[in-house]
Amino acid sequence: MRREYRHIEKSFTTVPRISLTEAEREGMRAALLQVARLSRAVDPERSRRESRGENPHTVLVSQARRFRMPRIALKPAAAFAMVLLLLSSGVSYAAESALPGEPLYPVKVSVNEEVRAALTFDAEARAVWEAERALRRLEEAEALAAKNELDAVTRAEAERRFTRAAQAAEAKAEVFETEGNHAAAARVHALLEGGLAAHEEVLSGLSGRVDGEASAVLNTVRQRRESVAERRANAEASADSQADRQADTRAQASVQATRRVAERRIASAQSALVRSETRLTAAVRAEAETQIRAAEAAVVEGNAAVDAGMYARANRLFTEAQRIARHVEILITSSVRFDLKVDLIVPPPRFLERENRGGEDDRRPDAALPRESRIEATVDWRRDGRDGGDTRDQDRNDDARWNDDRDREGIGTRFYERLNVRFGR
Amino acid sequence: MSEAEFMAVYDELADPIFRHCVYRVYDRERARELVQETFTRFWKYANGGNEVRSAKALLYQIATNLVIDEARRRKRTSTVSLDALYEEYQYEPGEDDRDRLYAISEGKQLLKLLEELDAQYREVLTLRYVEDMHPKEIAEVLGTNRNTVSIRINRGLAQLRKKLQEQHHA
Repeated sequence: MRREYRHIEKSFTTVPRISLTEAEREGMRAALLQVARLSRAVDPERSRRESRGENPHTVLVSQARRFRMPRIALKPAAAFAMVLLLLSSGVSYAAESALPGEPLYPVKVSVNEEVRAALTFDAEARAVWEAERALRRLEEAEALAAKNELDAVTRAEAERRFTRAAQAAEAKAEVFETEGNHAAAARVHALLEGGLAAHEEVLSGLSGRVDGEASAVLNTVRQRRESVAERRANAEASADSQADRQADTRAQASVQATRRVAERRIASAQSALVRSETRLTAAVRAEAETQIRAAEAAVVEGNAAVDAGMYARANRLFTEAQRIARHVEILITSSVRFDLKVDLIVPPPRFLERENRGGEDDRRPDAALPRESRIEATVDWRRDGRDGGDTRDQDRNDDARWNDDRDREGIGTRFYERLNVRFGR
Repeated sequence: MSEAEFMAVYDELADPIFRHCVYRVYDRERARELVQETFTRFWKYANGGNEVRSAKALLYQIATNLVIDEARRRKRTSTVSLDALYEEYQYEPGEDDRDRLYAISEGKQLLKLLEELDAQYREVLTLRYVEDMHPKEIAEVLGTNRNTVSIRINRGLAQLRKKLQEQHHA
């Protein structure tokens, strides 16, 4: 129609869509939610009328006025200076353990985490940090659930925060995909997948203990984990074919990067185990150690694959080691934190699943994993006597769930072990 | 309206309303406060027993009124540069983002020109092309009719083209 203006119309696409920063948006959101809640809380009669479908009449202006958005969105340099200041005064440190709804929570999310992101320059490290942020949102939801504070509203908020963070991490991984760095995408996904699987276990443990909405969060996490697993599988497949095509030196560089991350993750899981050792039962400690050994064995095997020039296989092994390590670490720390009796299920390493099915993958050598990494299912059903009678019902439910899981996924018991963690006081 | 519905509206429209304010007051900080005020008033209105037919239209109306009040009060002593406006704009230039950088500088130029336009044209043009709103929707937001909106868009584009040509020859 307006052909003469087409150029101008098109040039509007170059106008940057100025938007609120994440911190601004979240801060304002919290303030508005507070306003909305307060105007209700002050006048319960009105909310009752409303819930009956009648029109409310009172407007509480003064309540709303009092709440201003916390001014926490700062320019990066200012934010950095702020964090130094806060760190020296201990506020930033104290904020690290803040939960949603607490005064220091905005400092944690908008200052601490943002600054850490801003100071992370490596693209992959940044994507990993985004994934870790998603896992932190889950930790918070769990902490709320453990305190019996996860009602419908806080649950919806927690899920939203988590989904947002997870999407941010996936978006970063997607950038790697479009850049053709499939191995990096697989690494980010593997990390997220391992963490999500661990949190599924923690949440399911919690939902048996508290009445709140932990099980609803659990569903969200499960769905997310399934989609992440799928993305990871795709990324790995792409990485495989890429490794085949690539010149040896490039594939080797990529594989070494994956190995380094795996080793770091394992070291991190190990130190978590050492830190918590005294608070773990012998059985749990043994299981965690076995898991870590499995991850280490995968690295050893991966090194052998590198030497044999089988980079695709090496990549998979290293990535798998990362997933196991992250999973175990979260389970250890969460179990201690929530003083939780968690039924831990660490899914079997993927490359082993395939081995069980028989040689579909031509690139894989016949060499199997070292013996010690093959873990017999050690299901420890001993209970604290204190738990009382109804835990036995819980046990049966757990058993059913455990068997269902196992049947559904068609995985042999050998590599599918359950860590029955108990922390009696 | 429930809290959850309110939050859903906020999630959907916080950024568009923020832009709506930013392109009018040219002060990021102030625009943010206006957004907060807009949503607070919206909640009070919706929660005060009033029927809300279109949350979007209502929000834009409230924001527009607030911006006008603001302009009256300050007589717009706009000393804030566009660069300051972008300072917190979430964009991190990478090494090979030259195209995007060019696009951004072009976009900034366009924004500068927009600022020189009559307010009524600036308003419809940003709603139409930055927010991708349909003329019918714009009419609803501005409380006018669709015809007026289309005319303003056309005249705004004509003005803009003139300014672009002037700039080109200069």
